[in-house]
Amino acid sequence: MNAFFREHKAQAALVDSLFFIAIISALGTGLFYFAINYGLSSEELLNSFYSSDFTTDALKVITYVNITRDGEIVKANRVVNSTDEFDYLFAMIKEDYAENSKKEVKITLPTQKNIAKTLYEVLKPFDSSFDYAFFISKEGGVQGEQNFLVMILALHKYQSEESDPLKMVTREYYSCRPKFSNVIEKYIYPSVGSLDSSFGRISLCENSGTCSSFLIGINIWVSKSVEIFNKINEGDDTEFVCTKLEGIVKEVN
Amino acid sequence: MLSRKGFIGPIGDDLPSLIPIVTGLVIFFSVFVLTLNTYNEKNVFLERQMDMTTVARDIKGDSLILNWSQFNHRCNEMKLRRYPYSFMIAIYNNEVDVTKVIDEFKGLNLDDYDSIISSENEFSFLGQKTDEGNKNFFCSYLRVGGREFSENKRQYTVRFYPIAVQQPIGVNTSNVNATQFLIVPAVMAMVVWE
Repeated sequence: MNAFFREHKAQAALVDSLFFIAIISALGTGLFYFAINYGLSSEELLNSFYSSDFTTDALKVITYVNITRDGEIVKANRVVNSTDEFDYLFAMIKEDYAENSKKEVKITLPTQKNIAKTLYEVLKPFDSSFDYAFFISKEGGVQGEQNFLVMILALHKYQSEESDPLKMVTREYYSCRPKFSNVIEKYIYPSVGSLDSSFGRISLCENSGTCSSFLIGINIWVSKSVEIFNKINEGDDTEFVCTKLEGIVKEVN
Repeated sequence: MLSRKGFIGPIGDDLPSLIPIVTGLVIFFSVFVLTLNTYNEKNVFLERQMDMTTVARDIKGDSLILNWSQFNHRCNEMKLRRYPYSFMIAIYNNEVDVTKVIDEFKGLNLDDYDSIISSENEFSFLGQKTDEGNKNFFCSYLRVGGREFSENKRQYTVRFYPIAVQQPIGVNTSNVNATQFLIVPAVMAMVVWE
C-alpha cells in the first residue's frame, strides 16, 4: 500500500491542485456575484428618493402656480394683460366645493379643465415620458365607496394606424368619477409596474361653514400602452368612468 | 530504483500540479481586483447620488424660489460645504427641451461664472431682473482640483425637478408700467460629476 502511494505522489499533487482550483472557482464566483449585486438595493433606494422628490415637487408646484380664471398659466418673461385676474388653482377648487357641496358634481368642468391645464404646464418638459393621475378624495371614506371629488387622468394614446410618427402618440386628458375608491390600486398599480405617488391633506369647506378633510395626490408612472388605458382611450366602459377633456393641450399652446 | 520510475526532476514532477495552482491564483486575483474596482466605483456612484439628492433638496427648499437673491444665497451656502464632486444647477422655464440641457452645460466655462449668471441672452436659463441687472438662476461648484464639465470624460449624473419660481411679470396697461409678482412653473436641472 505504501509502495502504491509512493508511486502515485505526482497524481496526488495534481488532485490537490484541482481541489485548489475548485475552491478558487467557488470563491471567484462568490466575489463576482457580490460585485454584480453590491449597491443595487442602495441604488434603488436613492432612485426612489429622487422619484419621490419629483412627485412631491410636482404636487407642490401645482398648488403654488398662478393661473388666470380661465386657466391660462403665467409664463416667465411674458407681459400679461391688466384685465387678467390671477388666482391659485386651489382657490378655484375651494370656491367650487363651497358652492356645489350639495350637488353630485362638486368640482365644475371649467375647474377640472384648469386642473388639467395646470398639470400639463407643470409637467410639460417630461410630457413625452410620463402618464399621471391627479385626484382629490375624501379622507377616511369607506373602502369600496366612491370617494373621489375629482380625478384627472393624463394618458398617452397610441395610434398604430397613424402614418405620421409624430402623431402616433397623443396626450389625452380625462375627468374620471371612479365607481370605487380602490381603482388606482386595482388597475393602475398592477398594470404599470412602478409608480410614484405623493399625497397631501387639504381642508375644503361648504358655504355653511362645515369643513371636511380631503386627500390630494398625484401618481406618476412611465407611459406605456396597457389594456385598461387603451379601454379608457377607446371610450369603453371601465370602472374609472371617464369623460375626455377636450382641447387641453391645444388651448394652452 | 523502482520508486524513482518516471522521475523527471523536482520541477518536472510538480509541473502538472503547478499549472492549475497558478491558473487558480490568476483567476482569484483577477476576480478580486474586478470586485474591488466595482465596489469602489459603486461607492463613488452612490455617494454622488446621495450628495446630489441633498444638494437638490437644499437648493429647492420647499419647491418654491421666491427670487434670485434667495437662490443665490442657498447656492453660496452649498459651496461652503466642500463637496468631493462638482455640480451645476440651472433653472429653466417649463418650455425647455430637457434633452438639450446637457449640451448647454457642456458649453459652459465656469471661469466665467459672473458672465454666465449675468448674461441676458446667451443662455436659455431663467433670469430675473434685480437691482444689479439681469441675473440667471445658475449655480455651480467646482471641487478642489476638479475639471470643467466639458472636459469630463467620466460618468456624470443628471436630474430634473419641477419647481415654482416667483417672477416679476410686466402688466400691460394703457398708461402705467406695472409689475406683478406671480408664481410660474419651471424646471431645475442639476448635473454632478467628479
